[in-house]
Amino acid sequence: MDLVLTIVFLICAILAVAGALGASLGPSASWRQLGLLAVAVGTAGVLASLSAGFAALVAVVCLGASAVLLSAGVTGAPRGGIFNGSTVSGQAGAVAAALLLLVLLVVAVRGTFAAGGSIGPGFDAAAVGRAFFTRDALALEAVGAMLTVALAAGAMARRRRL
Amino acid sequence: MTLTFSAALVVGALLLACGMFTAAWRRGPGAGLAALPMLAAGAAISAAGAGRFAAPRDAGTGQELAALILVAGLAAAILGAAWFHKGEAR
Repeated sequence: MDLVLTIVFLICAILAVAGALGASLGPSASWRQLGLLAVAVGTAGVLASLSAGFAALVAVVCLGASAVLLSAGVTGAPRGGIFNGSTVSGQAGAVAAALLLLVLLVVAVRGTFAAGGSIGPGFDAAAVGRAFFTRDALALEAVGAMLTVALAAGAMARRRRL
Repeated sequence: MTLTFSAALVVGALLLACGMFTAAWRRGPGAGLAALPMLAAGAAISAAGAGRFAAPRDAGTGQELAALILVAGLAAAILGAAWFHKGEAR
């Protein structure tokens, strides 16, 4: 079972990272939409293989909706070519992203973490629900309020456009 | 060959770095918003990995945090798109 989960994890991880790169560097909006959808599917697979089935479902819904929303409504061309970003700020940002990746990889690979074994069921929605509505109710309310405000702002912006 | 916490963190780091790269590299108003789903996905995978491997007694916490991060990412994407359209309308 561990081997199967590991293979699923690797395939989905490759899909997610490839999708992210496609969305970053793709030449058109359709590339970006496809890339973001690949990120959604890959992330859901990775989460499912990490025994987080509920979070995987949330990932499909939230990341899929983000992909459709951002690809359909927001346009923008990538910089001219992959390796010839023209502005200094863009290149500085790319270097900063590379440095961030380096630091995070060093922390991930060289860090010493507490290691636990395999845990209960992969789709423990009951435990997650209990945590949502008891211990972390404030966090749930905060995120819910943020989503409500975002939806209201989105509706107002759409109404102004029409 | 088994899953480890490091593997989850590496994937999360890759997605976070891709998100940051997208935000810096994309040109055009609103185009950098495509970074938001990647950032949320990277953070969610890291949180779920922490819950899966480093907090075996409280297994639901990582999953819960991942779900909250993903919903917050969606809210940020909606807000960003609305802000972009508001600027576009002016």
